[in-house]
Amino acid sequence: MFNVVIVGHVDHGKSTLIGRLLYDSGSVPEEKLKEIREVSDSLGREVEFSYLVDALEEERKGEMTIETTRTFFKSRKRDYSIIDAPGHLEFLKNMITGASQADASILIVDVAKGVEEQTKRHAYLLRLLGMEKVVVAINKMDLVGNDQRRFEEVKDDISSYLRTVGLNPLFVIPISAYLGDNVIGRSESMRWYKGPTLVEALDSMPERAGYPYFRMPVQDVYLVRGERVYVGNVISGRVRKGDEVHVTGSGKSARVEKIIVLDGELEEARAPKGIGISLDPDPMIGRGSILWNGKGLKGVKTIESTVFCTEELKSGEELEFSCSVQEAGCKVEVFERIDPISLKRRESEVLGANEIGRIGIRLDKEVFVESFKELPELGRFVLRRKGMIVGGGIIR
Amino acid sequence: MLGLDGLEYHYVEEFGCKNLMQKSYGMTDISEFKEPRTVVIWSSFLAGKNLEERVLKEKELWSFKLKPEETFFSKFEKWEALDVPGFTYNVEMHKRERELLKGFFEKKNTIEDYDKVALEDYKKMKEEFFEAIGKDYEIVMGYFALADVIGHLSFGVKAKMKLIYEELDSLAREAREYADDMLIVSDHGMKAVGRFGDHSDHGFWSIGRELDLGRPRITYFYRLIEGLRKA
Ligand SMILES: Nc1nc2c(ncn2[C@@H]2O[C@H](COP(=O)(O)OP(=O)(O)OP(=O)(O)O)[C@@H](O)[C@H]2O)c(=O)[nH]1
Ligand SMILES: [Zn+2]
Repeated sequence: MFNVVIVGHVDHGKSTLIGRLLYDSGSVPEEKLKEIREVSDSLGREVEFSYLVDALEEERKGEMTIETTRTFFKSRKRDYSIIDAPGHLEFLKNMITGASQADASILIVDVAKGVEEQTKRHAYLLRLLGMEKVVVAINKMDLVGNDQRRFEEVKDDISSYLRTVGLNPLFVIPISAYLGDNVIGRSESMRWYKGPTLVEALDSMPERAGYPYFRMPVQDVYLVRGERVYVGNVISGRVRKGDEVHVTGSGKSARVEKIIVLDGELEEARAPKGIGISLDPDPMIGRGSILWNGKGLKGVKTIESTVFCTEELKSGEELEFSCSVQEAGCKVEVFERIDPISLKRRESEVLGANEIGRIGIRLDKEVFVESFKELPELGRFVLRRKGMIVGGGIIR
Repeated sequence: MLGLDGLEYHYVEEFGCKNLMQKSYGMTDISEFKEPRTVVIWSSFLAGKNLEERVLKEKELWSFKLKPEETFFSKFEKWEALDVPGFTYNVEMHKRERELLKGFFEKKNTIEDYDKVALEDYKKMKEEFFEAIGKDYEIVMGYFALADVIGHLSFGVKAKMKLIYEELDSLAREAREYADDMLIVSDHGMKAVGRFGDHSDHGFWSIGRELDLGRPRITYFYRLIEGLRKA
């Protein structure tokens, strides 16, 4: 499954594009489509693609626990899941708390309106989240008569903004989500465009290479027939019976005695997989440690990071820090506030709700992190005040 | 006048149906009724008073019929009321819809079968309506059950409901061309229950002039219509 997030200014055509992707890839359930088509035929009206998305989401309501919704489509090459956030706040919150994990992103820009405020804000957020695979879809080409000059203008605009935030779009593609031009199929009306269609561009992106080293955050400890079993997800690499693994925070090492799953035992487990492990000698740890081997895991007591706040945050505040299963107390210091549109930085001791800024975090004990780019699960953190999320960030 | 059964305020706004909104629009307050029942609300609308008790005494709810002199139509010289529940309702035609609704839950027919009949009935009524407003009536009320009927099995399927609301929006646009003034009223709106729809606790009104009615009761319109007639 390849996860793609679509962002862009309101009304630039996100929902229409998603509807088009579903429809052209034949991913709308046949029955539902037939039912809708019959009404549209009977009334002589065209179905609006942006609303097809709802027709699908409704089927998956049961799975939805967060504010973002996912829809799925298949290309000739692979399965895609599209993450659609109703607003950038939800999107950001979900990215930071780990609810969604995108492999690539599509930034959609209305060719008639050009780059607008939210276009910039979203582009900046993509950068903040370490999203480097960005495809720009210049939408509504039909509204400008598929004019190449106008396309190049908007392309230059958005490309230069992206460069200022340190992003380099992999493709910039002229599309009409409404007509389906250059979405899956190539457009006859834009012969001047020689590059890939949107889905061809997505298909050409390699899957994220899994981080090769074994990492398993311990979520819980169970007693099974007198033996302590450490339970958690293998988030990267693999582990075999007999391997030597290290335990963060304790300085201890041990051998893997058993790998236990619901219906028996395994010789080996690879990420992603939830397992139980018994160790010899038993390190007697609890929730919050990470089992690992291979390249050393970095322990830190201070972190400097760009964070996104959902609540006000002040210099000197004491908060709760968490990264995966690890929890610690911390004291934060706010350095500066960053305007996501002008990118202006201003010294500040406070960050308001929904603001972005740079802060320093001093932890009351060592936590073990990786860079977000290499292993997102250990590369993002959340700050809480009495259990409520205040903000979050990622580790570069 | 358009009586649009089950037209939901929130969808009118979400789908941007400008012709349904007209110059002034809002919700109606139907909290005085124990349940948002179609015949009860339309009858009360026509009579300008709450007829819930009287209508519920009727054995066959859908057969309840007011006399013309009990309705605001009696204030006009030449009037036409097409298929209006509680008054000139075509019981036979709508019976088919209700049977197919039941049939769907009993797995005897599909949603498509049901939608098809609803659309056919709608188109038939639309023709009759445009024929009537072409004549020299003082007031014509067309009743259209489409949004309610389709909504019962599909209110949660937005792509479909959008088509229905667009259709009603263009109905309103065309109808407006024939009239000096137009009032649009729904008995109740709907809310999604999964893919299905249930009656909601408010109706919809709109009128082709600047008028701040707030959230009127359905019985309020009797006086409004009477007033328009005098003006
Ligand atoms: N002509 C034309 N119109 C389009 C195209 N794509 C989208 N639209 C129209 O633009 C409007 C906004 O499209 P949406 O898909 O709802 O936009 P959105 O970005 O999802 O907006 P939100 O859902 O409000 O965030 C709708 O009226 C679409 O029909 C296109 O390629 N060509
Ligand atoms: Zn109903």
